[in-house]
Amino acid sequence: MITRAMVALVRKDLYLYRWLIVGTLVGGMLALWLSDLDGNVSLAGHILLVTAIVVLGVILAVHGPLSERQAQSYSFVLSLPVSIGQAAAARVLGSLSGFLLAWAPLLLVVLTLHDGPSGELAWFVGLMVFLLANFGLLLALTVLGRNELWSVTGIVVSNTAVPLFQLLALPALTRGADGELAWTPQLFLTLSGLLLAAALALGLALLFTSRRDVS
Amino acid sequence: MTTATPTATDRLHALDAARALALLLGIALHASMSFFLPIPVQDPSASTTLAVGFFLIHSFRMTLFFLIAGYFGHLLWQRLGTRSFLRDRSRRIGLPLLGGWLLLAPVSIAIVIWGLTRSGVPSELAQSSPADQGLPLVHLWFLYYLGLFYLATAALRALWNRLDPSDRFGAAIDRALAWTLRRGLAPVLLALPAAAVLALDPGWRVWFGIHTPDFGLQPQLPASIAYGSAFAAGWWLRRQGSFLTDLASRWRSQLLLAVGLSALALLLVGPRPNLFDATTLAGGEGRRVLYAAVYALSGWYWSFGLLGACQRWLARPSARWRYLADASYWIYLLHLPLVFGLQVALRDWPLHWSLKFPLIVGLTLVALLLSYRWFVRGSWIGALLNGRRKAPGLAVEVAAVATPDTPITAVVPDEQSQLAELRGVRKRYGQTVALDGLDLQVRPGELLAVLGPNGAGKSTAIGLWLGTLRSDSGEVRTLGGDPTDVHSRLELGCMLQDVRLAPMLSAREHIDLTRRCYRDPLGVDECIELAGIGDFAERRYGKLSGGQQRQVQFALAICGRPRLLFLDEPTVGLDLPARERLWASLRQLVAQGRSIVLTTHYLEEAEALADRVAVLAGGRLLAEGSVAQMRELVSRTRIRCLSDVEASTVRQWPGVVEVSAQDRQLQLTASDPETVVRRLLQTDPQLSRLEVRPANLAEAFSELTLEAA
Repeated sequence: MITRAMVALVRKDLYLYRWLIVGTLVGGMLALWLSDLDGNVSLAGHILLVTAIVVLGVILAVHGPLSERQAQSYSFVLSLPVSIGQAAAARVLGSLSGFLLAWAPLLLVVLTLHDGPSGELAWFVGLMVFLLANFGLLLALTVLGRNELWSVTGIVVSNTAVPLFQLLALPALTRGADGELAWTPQLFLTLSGLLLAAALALGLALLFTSRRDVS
Repeated sequence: MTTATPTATDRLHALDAARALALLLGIALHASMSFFLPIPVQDPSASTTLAVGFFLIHSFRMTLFFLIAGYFGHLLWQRLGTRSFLRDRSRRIGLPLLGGWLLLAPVSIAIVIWGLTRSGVPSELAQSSPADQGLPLVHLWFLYYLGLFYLATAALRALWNRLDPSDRFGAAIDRALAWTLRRGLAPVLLALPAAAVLALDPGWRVWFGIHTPDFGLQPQLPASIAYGSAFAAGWWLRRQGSFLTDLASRWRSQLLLAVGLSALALLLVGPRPNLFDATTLAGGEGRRVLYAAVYALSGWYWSFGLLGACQRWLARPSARWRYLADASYWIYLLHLPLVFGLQVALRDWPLHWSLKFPLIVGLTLVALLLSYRWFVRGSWIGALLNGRRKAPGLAVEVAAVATPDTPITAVVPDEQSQLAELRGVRKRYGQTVALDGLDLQVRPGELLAVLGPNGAGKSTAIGLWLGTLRSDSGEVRTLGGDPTDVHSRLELGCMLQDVRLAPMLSAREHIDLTRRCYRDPLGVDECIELAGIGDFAERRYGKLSGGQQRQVQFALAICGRPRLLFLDEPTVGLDLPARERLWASLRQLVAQGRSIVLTTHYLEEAEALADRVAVLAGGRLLAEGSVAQMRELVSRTRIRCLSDVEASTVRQWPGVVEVSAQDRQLQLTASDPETVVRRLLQTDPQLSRLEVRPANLAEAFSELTLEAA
């Protein structure tokens, strides 16, 4: 159950990360504009977009849960009318909400303003969904891992996974029968699987954190 | 985590409701019998659904009842002591058993005989061998067994006190139980005795589970073991403060498991009993053992699940549930003849069981509820059954104080009760004993200073009160409830040591965001003013000095308008004006009726602010009282003077505890100051600058903790 105090904690996290979210949005818009231009500028736009979202994800996924574990922050949480599990769950929800607040408008902008071939859109949506799933898995890992080593491992793996997916998997998944970019069943299947895995991981993370208890 | 064992002055509404449920389900249980059993009469409209219902109810009902009885028994025993406890039980349990048996047993048996004459002796009964049954206890057997369990417990308690006077073994059991409870495994452990006794009993009538011992005064082994272990579990689980809270958090999963296990048990044994060969279960010994385990386990999961659900949904005062809980004892005592009579009377009515069954239950309930209201509640019978005579209508008794006459139930704490309590609390961290049977209370409207050297147990005590730690044994209560319950924490404020807050936010932003966690918070400006942080409220927290950060933390601690405020070394790092401002705020809060628990190493702070001081060392309470009382505890006086008398000479005098000298300055600690001063003046007529003063709190504290060490 989400209590008033949990909502307040999520709100506090969002307030805390407000400039980061706004910065990501501005950077993302700029990146989208650049990616619409020709040549190397377009490539730079793509890189900037991925970088902005990945940085947001890493900060939100790692900073919130990690700071929740630190004894001094823990002491403050104990002074609030929340259980330890609720506080931890609020952290996860705060991080997830923060990410979605930047990710969803960027996706929406592309979906509404895109006027190129639909294959390009498939490629872009594939990338965005992968970034969301990647964030979900990283967040779940940092929450469930319960120490910094897991977080570092998560960051390394997820950061490595992004270019690998972008350069190797995505072109293959969006290659249509004629060799052009297109919506393909494989893309839908892969993205569904990724989202499901992220949802499951986040669900597990929420379940475990909400059951955290005192010693 | 924290323990929050309810005290004898807390009405446990959830347990009252669960016990009422167990008793009232008995009516449905007995009313269903005639639709699949020839007792008291075989109804032509047979029902497998009601057989399954009977099976389910019977699998947990009395386990639940005896579990609650044990829990309440411990609560009452703790409040009354053994003698009064037994006297009270003999009145509340013994008299209804005796009176009820004299009146109800003949009537019930007469109705059974009436039923048999109407429907004839069923072939199933005619073929079964008659058992050596003994005195018929009818449905009042539960009172008889309850009495036996009370007696056995009192005897075992006496023995236990001799064998384990320090309660070390008891504490070990507490820890083991806490471990199983935290992991949701307690039902597995508690089901073992019943499963074993059922599986090993060659005469076990499998479908009927634990055989109802309604005949004979000699205790029957299966019921004694199964229900005795439930009673013992309830008794022991009351020592687990967080027991009810734990159950409340798991009620769904426990009930789901219960449903699954009951379904499995029914698959193994079938939906209706085999009256021709009741002790045989097709499938061999392995299946029989499996069924015994599943059956016993399902009973415990049902009991824990239902208790948890009651704790989750019915823990708050409710006039209706309270009335029903009060009435349930009377209803259960009287229901059997009525149910049996209706079953026999309605036998030949050409109605389907789905109409007859609710009709029997409904008529019984209405008749007994009306009789309770008109003849019992306000009468001496009501006083006997409910502890005292009550007004006939619904009324929520929120703050009635439990008396020895209200033993089974208790009350929500009133304003006069303690705001927070630790009773006999023990807490270990590995081999280190942090608290060793600590008793400490916080009263309404007081500032309690908790003093002690490092490692005394102060922070552990606060952690228990805040619900961030769980005790190994003993009772912990905060604002009348379980400290781990978030609801009770809504009225708590707390300022711990070494708190980290987001450095980018200003003090104002911190307050504004934090106060939203509470229902009725202070305004931001009000908070800023009370904490005295107006000068730097707009600055980023990370840019503030250590003392200013502590002041912001104090503002956050009070922003929820707490009734009870915990302050752990609040003035560390504060300059003198800030400290004085905080002291003034604390006095203002206490004047508003709020309670404060303050730990501090600045003894002058405790001396200036505290209404009461508690000195801890080694996890124990060394002394407790007002500042003046604490000084008096140390009956030493400090004497200072300029004198030529040698310190080594003075040290030999009677009444001198300690002497030190520097140049001509003599400093003495004396247990008999008048004699010492006289002798000093006689020995050195030139003595000057004589100062005599009683020990201050710091000296008293130092001496107390030194003695303890």
